[in-house]
Amino acid sequence: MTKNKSPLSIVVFIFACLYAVITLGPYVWSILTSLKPTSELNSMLVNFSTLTTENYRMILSEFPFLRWFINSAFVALVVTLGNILFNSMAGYALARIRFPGREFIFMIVLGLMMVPGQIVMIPMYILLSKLGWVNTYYGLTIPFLTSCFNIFLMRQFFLTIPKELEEAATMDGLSRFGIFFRIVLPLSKPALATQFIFSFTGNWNSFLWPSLLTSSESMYTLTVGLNSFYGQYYQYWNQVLAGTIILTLPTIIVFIIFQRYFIRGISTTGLK
Amino acid sequence: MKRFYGVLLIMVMLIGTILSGCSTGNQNAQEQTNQPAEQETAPEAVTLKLGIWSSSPAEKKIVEDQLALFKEKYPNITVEIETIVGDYMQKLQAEMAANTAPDVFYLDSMPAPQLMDAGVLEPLDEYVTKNSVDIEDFQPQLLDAFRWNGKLYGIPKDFNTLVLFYNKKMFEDANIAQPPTNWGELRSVAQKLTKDSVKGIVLSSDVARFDAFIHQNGGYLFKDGQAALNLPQNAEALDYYTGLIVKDKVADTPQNIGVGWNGDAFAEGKAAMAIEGGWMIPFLKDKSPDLQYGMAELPAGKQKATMSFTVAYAMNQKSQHKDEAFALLSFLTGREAQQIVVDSGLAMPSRISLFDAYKEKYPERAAFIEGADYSVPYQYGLLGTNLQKAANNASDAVIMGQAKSAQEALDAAQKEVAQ
Amino acid sequence: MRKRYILEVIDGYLFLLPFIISVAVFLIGPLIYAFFLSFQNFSFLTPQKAQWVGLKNYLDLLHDPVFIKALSNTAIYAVGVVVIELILGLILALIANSNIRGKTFFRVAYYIPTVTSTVAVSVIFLYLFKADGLVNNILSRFGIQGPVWFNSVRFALPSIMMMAIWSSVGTYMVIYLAGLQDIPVELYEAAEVDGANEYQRFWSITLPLLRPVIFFNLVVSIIGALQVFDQAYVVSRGNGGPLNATMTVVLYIYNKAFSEFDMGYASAAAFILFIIIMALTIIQRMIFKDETN
Repeated sequence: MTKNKSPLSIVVFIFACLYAVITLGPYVWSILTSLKPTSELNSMLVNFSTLTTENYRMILSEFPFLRWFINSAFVALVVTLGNILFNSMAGYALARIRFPGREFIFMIVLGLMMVPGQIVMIPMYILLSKLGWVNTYYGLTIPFLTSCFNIFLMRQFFLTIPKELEEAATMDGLSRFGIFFRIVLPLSKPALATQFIFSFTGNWNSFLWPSLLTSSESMYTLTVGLNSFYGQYYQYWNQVLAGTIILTLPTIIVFIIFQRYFIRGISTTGLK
Repeated sequence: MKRFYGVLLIMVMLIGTILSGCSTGNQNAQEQTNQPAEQETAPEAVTLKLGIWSSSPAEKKIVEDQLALFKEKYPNITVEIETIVGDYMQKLQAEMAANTAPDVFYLDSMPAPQLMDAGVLEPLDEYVTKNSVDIEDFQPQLLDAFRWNGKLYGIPKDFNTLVLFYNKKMFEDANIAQPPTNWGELRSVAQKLTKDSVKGIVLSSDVARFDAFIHQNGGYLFKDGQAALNLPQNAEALDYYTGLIVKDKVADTPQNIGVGWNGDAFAEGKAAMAIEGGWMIPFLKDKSPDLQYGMAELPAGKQKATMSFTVAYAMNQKSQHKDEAFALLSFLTGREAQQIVVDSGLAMPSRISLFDAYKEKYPERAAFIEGADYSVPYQYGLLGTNLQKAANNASDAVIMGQAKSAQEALDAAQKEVAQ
Repeated sequence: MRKRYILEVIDGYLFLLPFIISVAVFLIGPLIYAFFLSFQNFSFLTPQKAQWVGLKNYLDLLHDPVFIKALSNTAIYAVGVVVIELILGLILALIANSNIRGKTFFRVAYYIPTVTSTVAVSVIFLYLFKADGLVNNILSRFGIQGPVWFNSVRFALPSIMMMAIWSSVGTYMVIYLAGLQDIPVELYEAAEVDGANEYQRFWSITLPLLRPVIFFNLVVSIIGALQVFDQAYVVSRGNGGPLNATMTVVLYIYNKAFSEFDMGYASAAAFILFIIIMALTIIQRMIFKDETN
């Protein structure tokens, strides 16, 4: 917050750079490795003259990559939109509206996060197969339109928004839905952006469930598709890492787009 | 306010239409697969699901080639491949519980007893008799891995045995003419080959490798439904195996060498010998195409022994089209389809009548076939992965110095399995 | 007044309706089912052979040395990972929220590991930490003989912890970051006028106002840490080795359920874990109890 170069800010800057090296280093190494030809995999050194995009070309051409990409994007977007709307509503009710059973429902939200998902996978699979949703977009999206994690997240954020504005709006005769959509949501951009990032990356990267639910190659999401590819090429780190980079890029782009909502002032100036 | 509800409504409708639009294609596909079930009167339209995993593109190609031949013979049967991604047994279990499992599927020897015991597989004996399948042509040890209470539940599609891979150049440099043939030679040869950055042999702390030594020493980890981990002859074998690493220091584990698995250590020239199966061959060709290596039978202890790894085709007990499913199963394990396995060189055919064809085509790989007769299937009955884990812990404990002796480690493992 | 109260109740449940429907249909049913399984000798392969065994699964678990080992590994893991993640996450968020040059760059840099798949992260770490890998290479320059990280009884669990922190601290950073946005700038300006320095502002404004967010991060990170599975699964290839050093509770549950087909036993283990997490969450809620007001 201070603009002069205090000793503290220099220390902070050095630390910031060091940690960036720790997080980015392995990433840089992955990208370099993904560009290596298989014959040079063993060498720790990077021979820049032999770097090739062959690994990427191989993945993109030998697999129905576009289809998987579209499946993943579609599933992640539908789930994320549902999450943004439904979790915000639920989180708001749990934070702001007073009604009997609120504490109980909140405990259920917390409680459901505590059960290891592995244990309900087969019962859920049986249920979806009874609904005829195995290997369909329904099965990949509808059970995930709400998320306890994000409801909890939104509740905590709504708790930090000052009540005065809502009270004023009630005086003006706005209904609960009016207050929520017109006053609360516009004030919650950082929280909504956070939820968008989490929901999108979470669904984009989810593997266990899509791998259980999809059985035809045309329904695979990118993670399942790439894992079928990992299974076959696991000995070739260059190709595995090329696949990973392809998988990771969209989530990084989503993050870059939405992180700009974390700019001080947008959400809170004008309050109080 | 109204605008918000408008937007909300449109969004919900949009999601709804997209969902229904996108899934119609798939629902049709599902209905199509279900239709033949209702149209029993028209036998020519049957669709079967074939469940496989795919550990390499070449493996998947074998199945596709086999199915192309199958289609010529049985134009009425359509086969859909379901390649299971992720944990195979997990998905199979879920699909069986929900009645969506494939009609015919891969079955590894290790989890086979659980499935055979559970009664979810169709016994094949009747079909074998009815269709007069020459079942005696299959290597008996492999077939036995899929027998339970006297009934046959799977027909092996191919197999692999463990052999000794050795680096020819390193052998020449150390003036060793022949690969070792017994435990003593193995130790002394490994001794000669060990240098600063090279170990004589790479040995993984894995029961799938050292169990061969246990059988060579006349021991066994499992017999008649019971774990027998701590027999003295087992301890002796494990002591020899781990001793090469801990006492003689002529061997090491891939982890200690700094690689992922035995194959890496051998390919990178960090070990002069390795005990692996036929999957090494395509791997080495890819990773170190210039490496000159040979394959020999495993050195013998009191007797010869090696492990065999086999996968069978099994039939879902709930399949709607069992006769067609058996037609598929017996075709995939038939001579014609097995010839494709031979040609691919990826694994060995499970039919004895094709052994000669295999040896002729790959004379340098004779050791794999020689091993078939004295091989032991990698399988521990219903104890399965439980015993496997306990045994691995025992060798880990010895190698990492957490147990005083092999006997002590195996005693602990026996206790672990027993409860 | 009464009418307004009823309207509030209706609104409350209307807002929660999508959540209630989706949870009731897709989660509660399977959960209750799993709960019943935990009192049975049950396998999905042979549902017809299921036997009611009462509390036997639970009692057996308490005497199962591998399960106890898994519990203690998970506890060690959780303590280490949660403490470091919460502190490091806050530091990174403060950095990424300050006027530091290249703010966006740092945000992206810190968040990248979070979006990378576990398989890839494991591949990268296994490579960096292998016996003759980069890390040991650097250590040897300082005369330190590095261990075989992932395959050593002593270092395997700490290695996995390190990996988990590296790959998920970005999540907590992002949550803190969004929380920091909600603190009105005016408060800092007023404090500055009063002559408070940066440390005082941090302790008296930032930290207290972040309370709900810290509570969230604490609860979520403990739940996440106690359910650790992915890293242990990938690094140990599913078996929790070496010598159960990386056996976690959920990995244990997974193995019981999917490779030993013992779903009843696995369900009982899952509910023991559930009870532990539940107790911890209730304690945390008591400590933070005024956060709702």
